[in-house]
Amino acid sequence: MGSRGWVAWAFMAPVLLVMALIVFYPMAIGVFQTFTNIDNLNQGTRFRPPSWEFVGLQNYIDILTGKDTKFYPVLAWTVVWTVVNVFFHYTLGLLLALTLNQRFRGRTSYRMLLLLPWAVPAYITAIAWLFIFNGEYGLLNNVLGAFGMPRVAWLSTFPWYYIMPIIVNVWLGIPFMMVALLGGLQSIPGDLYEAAQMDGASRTQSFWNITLPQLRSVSSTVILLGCIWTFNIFVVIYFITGGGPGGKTDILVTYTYNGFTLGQYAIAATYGVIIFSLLLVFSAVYRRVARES
Amino acid sequence: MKRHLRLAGLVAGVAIVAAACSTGTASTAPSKAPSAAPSGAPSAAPSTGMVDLAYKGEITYWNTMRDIEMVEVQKQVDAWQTLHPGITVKMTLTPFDGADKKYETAANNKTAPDIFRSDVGWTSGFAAQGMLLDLTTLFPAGFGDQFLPAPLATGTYQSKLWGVPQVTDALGLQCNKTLLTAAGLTAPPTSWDELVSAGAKVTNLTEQKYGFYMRGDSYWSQPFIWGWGGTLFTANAEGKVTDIGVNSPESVNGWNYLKDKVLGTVTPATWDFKTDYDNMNAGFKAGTTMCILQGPWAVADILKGAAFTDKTNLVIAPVPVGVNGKTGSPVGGHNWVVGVDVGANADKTAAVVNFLQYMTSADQQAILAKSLGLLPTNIAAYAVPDVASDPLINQWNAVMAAATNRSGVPGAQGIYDSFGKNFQLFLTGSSTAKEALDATANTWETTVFKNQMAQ
Repeated sequence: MGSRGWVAWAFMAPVLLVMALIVFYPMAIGVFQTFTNIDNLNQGTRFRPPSWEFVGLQNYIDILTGKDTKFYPVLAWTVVWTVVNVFFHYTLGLLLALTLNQRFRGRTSYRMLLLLPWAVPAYITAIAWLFIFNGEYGLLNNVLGAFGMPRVAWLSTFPWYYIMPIIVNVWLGIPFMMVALLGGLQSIPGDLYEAAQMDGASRTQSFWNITLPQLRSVSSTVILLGCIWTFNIFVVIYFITGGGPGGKTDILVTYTYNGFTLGQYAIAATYGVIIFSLLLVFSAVYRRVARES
Repeated sequence: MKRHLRLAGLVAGVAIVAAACSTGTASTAPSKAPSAAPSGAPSAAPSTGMVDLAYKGEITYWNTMRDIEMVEVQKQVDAWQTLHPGITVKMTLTPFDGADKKYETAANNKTAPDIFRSDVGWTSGFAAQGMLLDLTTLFPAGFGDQFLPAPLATGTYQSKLWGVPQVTDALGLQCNKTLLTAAGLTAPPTSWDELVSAGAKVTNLTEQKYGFYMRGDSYWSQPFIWGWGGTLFTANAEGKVTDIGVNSPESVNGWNYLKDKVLGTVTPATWDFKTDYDNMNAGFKAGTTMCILQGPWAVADILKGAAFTDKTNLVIAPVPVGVNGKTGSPVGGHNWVVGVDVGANADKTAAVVNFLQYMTSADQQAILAKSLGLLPTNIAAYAVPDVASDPLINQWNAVMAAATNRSGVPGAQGIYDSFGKNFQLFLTGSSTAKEALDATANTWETTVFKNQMAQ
């Protein structure tokens, strides 16, 4: 036992070393910075000694008590963004998975086509959608114009500036759900359905009583993953709205990034730790609820 | 025999390149180049250009220009390299957006380029952080006197020279002459009232015909503050902010004028801020927009538009005046700054100084003025015949004469982030002009100028 443990550690050592260097060490620095007032001016450079100070929990207090007036509005939109996206990811992904689980001609090519959004780098997708949404010369407005309808500045008009990035992200997120759920569907034994058919169950009844319960373990995992990914997806917001107009569509990660680019390292690091903590708590609660039900 | 012919060809080639790069006026450089090239090392160095530089190796240069401009600048760089064999200027395109942060990071890590093209708003900040080489005594006496005062001031901080003025600019009112005529005007409108009333005649919002188009960006909002008698902030000689006045009643009036009178009348009521820079240019180039607010940097591209195959269809005028007869346009532009580490190597410093002298010479600036429509910082460049006879450059002169210089406070580039966001919140109706400008002033005081407020 003792000697085998040593071998295991030896094999893991290179990975642990790399992770210590590129994950744990920067993370520790990040957490450390949340207790300071460090920014680009007082961080200390080779031209100027550092002059930042410890502020204890002040950054957390400012953010959580709402003294930093941006936190709760941004958090609220981030939650709406995540829930709406994952809802459509899951329902549309399941619909497509159910369709592709039938036998029909050209099924393989459909499957390939539906994977396409996944195969294209997300920022290229985002830029392509930006062409469609362009307020003056975009495809969408040209189509509307052809039908004599007024043009809309999609990315500057309420509520479209909320809806447009959701459309893009839903489009991007469906393939993953579809593939994962299709895998789940194919592992459901066929005789369950045969037995249900014998008992005179309708297709709807089979879906609710066989398919969904059988998919539960796959579903709970992909929904958890989907929530975490969507909560933290940077490219869609950054490229589609850039957080605009006036920062209204910033989600927590893009807002945090903005803080870093403005050199407010302590505040941005605190946001980072808060995001991490939120997701940690969410995952733990979600896991427990999923296991109990 | 064959060898000699090849050498002669090379010499001729060098002569052509050198000659091509100094149009018109007689400069000593091109005539010396051919005779110097075969011998390898030029010995008798004339006063300009052909100084015998001890430094051999590479000079790194981060340029924040666009591709179309880089091509022309590369020709100048090549010409300089021909004059100074053994020195390579390695020019790298660094996208303008975010270049300041990139430079700061590089300077802290000792990986900064030798030369950097810095926005005029960045220079004092870099200097205050100690990243730049003090250029005050490196150039010959009187070097600074050859530049226009406004751009020179942007490279000066606490009475020392940190940046050599490369190009100057200001937003101007660029108009389509044909559409001006259609709107019943013989010259570009001089007041916003005139622009709105005339522009309405050529505006049809559903057909995407606009009398005017601008950006939902704080830089573009400034004429509506200055034109109504407002200010952004005031600073003293030490570069400390004495007063933040951006939320004055004058600014509020200017922004409200924009929203109540201009938007929805001659421009769309709201527009796509994400792509408005490109859309503004596209509509103007296509001939569907009468006037836009744009800088000289965009002229070369605009002239490629279908509406401007006849160059004289483009007319440029100062930004229209606001309610009390004031015009306001931000003076912008770029400086060449030199990394502080270059100073450790005297030979390299001499080479860099020589390069910057060459690039800021009247002849070289005239080349970019002619090919790209960029405004020279060197006063003598405006007298170069090609430039003096250029109608567009002359029109820009009137714009520059009426433009507003910005205060060179370290970190002042940081004002535009919150300023722009609040401007967009105002434009989309999420906040009133007063609320948006108050929020802007608050961010400037508590964040941007936190350490720069005069006590």
